[in-house]
Amino acid sequence: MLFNSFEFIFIFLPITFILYYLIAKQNWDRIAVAWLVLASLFFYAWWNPSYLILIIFSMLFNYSMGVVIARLGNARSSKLFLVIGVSINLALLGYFKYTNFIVEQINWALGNSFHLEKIILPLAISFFTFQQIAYLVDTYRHETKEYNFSHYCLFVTFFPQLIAGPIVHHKEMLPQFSNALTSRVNSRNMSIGLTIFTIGLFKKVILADNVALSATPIFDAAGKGAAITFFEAWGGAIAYTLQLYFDFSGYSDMAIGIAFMFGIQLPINFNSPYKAVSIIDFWRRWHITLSRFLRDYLYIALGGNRHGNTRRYLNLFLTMLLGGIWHGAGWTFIVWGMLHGSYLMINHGWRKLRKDVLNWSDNIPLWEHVTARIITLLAVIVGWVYFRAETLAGANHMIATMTGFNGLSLPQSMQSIFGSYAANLSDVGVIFEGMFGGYKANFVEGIVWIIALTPIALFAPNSMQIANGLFSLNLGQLTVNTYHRIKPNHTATLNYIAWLAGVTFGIIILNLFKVSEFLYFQF
Amino acid sequence: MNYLHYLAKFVSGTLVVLLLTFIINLIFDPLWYMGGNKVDDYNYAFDERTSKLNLVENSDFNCLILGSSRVTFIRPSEIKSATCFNSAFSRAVVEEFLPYINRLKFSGMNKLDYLIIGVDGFNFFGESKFKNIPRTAVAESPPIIFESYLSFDTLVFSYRLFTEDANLPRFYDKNFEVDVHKSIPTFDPKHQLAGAIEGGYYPSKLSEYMEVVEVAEAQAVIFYVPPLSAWHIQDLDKKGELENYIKAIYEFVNQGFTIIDYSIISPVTKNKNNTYDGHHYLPHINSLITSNLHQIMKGQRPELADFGVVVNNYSFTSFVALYKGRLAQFKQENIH
Repeated sequence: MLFNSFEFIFIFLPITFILYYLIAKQNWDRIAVAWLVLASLFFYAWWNPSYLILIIFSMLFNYSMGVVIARLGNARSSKLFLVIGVSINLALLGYFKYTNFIVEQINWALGNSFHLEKIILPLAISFFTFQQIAYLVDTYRHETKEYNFSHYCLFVTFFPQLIAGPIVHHKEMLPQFSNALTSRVNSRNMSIGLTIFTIGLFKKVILADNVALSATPIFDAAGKGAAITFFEAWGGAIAYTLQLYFDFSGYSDMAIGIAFMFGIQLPINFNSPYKAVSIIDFWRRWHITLSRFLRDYLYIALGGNRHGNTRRYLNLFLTMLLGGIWHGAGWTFIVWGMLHGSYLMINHGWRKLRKDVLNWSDNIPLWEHVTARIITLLAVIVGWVYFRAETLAGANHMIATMTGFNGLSLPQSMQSIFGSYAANLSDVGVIFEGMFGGYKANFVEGIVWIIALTPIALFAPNSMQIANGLFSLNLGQLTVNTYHRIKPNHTATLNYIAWLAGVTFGIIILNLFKVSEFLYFQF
Repeated sequence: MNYLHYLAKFVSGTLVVLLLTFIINLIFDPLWYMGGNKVDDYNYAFDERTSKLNLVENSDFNCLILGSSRVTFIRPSEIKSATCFNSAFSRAVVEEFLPYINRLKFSGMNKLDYLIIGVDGFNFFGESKFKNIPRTAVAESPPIIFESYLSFDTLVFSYRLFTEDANLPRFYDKNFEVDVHKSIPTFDPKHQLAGAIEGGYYPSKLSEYMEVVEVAEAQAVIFYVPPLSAWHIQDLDKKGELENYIKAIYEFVNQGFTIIDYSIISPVTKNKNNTYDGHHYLPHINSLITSNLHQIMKGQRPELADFGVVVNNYSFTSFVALYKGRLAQFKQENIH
């Protein structure tokens, strides 16, 4: 059940909320938690009821392991139980997510033709596995304080963050469930939640889904090895860069918004990532909760920067490589992870060089700031090409075209500008057959979307800044700057925003239900 | 700030947008849930597959008409001896009829006295074109009116009805019977022929028709081939597929069914003014077909004049000869 579906918006969410609200009015905290767990399990089962067993097993197993590890305290055997717990989590994730891929690679390497039926990846397994590994590790480190079973179940299954994050941490969730949960169900949180949910829904349904129409055909064509022009390749890559941001951050906004309605605050997951001035900065702004996990439970576990520079760079590279593999089983994700690992190594190396060798000031001049932003964005776009492509060959085809290795086709009207030199240009692959080939139709509308969305992604305040400005949110550890042009809690502004958000929500609903005209071709 | 006021305004804003859209869509009713356009006497076929299922809900009929857009021109009101429902829709392929019949049965279709099927030659040629089946024809329930009318896409349809921005040369009147716009294109056979038959011959497609007949369980079944321009038949001959086309038609006779072929070259199909594209014929021509169908339903011999032939009256050899003779004559007439 997706957040942008009829059944979620009109049936599941209202029923879940109304019952929760009625329970909250009686201050029945325990029942409220139980109801949210039940509703969340139903939400999960909607996709495939048979996988309900998996998530319930995972919860029971990890909770039990957590209790055992906590009781053993400093005993040596607690480490054994931690290793068993983490191993079983990784084994489950590995079986469902990577078995087919591994068998394919072995077949390829050994020339075998061993056939394995496609294993269906259970929804959200990557997310709830990571959350629970973190819980076990922190229990071992004596950083967990609460062992209430129903609270633990809600921490794992809470439906707003179950499918696509944010990856929540027990430290930020469990205390919320213990601390007068039902008292936080009020009109203020409802208003905040609905507004953030609307912003997220708008980003997903109106922005991401429309710009996707320019990205998908190009990547599909590249995947088939079809000829695409330099401008089409860049258009497709930029369109996907925008699509992914608005889609994923929109989904995170929706999750945060829904949770707010229930009086629960989820961590921020995006903070204007395309405003980043470096790859290090980018990973502090993009999928923040994943970066946090990778840093705390992988990079630091590998040794972090505690064993000298060489190990530090190696750890950075390995962390991002594993982060890439976490996203999906395929060479494209491995390359994407390796790219970002390399980017981070270069970025850290540059910082060291800049400070220790070049002795440049910490006050970054404008030219350097602008250059840094451009280089960062280009590096990210190149990474997204690998992330999006179905195959390595398709990604390489895109990159080759984007870098001009497959020639450059300019508008026919420009041929006259070059005059007699035009013939010489053809020797270096420059031709005058138009900027767009077979995908021109998609780009007429697509360019409009790209032009409209780019400044929003690069310069506009993000949804959390807007919400913070409107409602003076207490965003906990992950604070973002307020968008200062909004006067917080200014009644007139909020009245206007309420109408605007309501009308926008209505318009989005109208865009959820697609009714297509039958295409008659020649009939 | 009183956040209850905030919520009230939010909800009001949403309701205003949704209610306005829903009411406008109800008034124009582009998908025929509520009896069609309330503002004017015309309805457009935005998606006949779905619309006709919406239209048929809660209606009683004992005669069902199946076929492609060429068959939509058959007017049930001209068939007095039965209550017919014309469920033909654009680009219908035979593979779609079965799920459609099942869907109609699911929604409580009465036992049929008559089943009339328009047989399009294109069903026997080329790869299966089995696609575009709306979820209504395969799922157990059509999309509810709220889902269809709380949609911006449908609002665009309503706007197009309001501005008379037609999508096709044909439209449906207030009784959901097909008519044509005053300004329709003129058929010009010199251009590429729309609706020309393409691809290799697939005789096995006959079994699809037979399955439909079996499942429909009608008392009487009548097949007819909608008219095609003489130029279309000539095109078939050029492609070397005319004999296969004739074979496909004659197979219905071999199966023991009555079939009238209006695509055989005749003065009607040689006249460019009777059609706007060479395969959709004007209402007055289709009225002749409807009259013949009605005569057969009443147990009478159809008065065909010189438009269409009852295929059952011919052996296969003589039917081929008739086709080829008329084609030769047409070629002779059009030599210049």
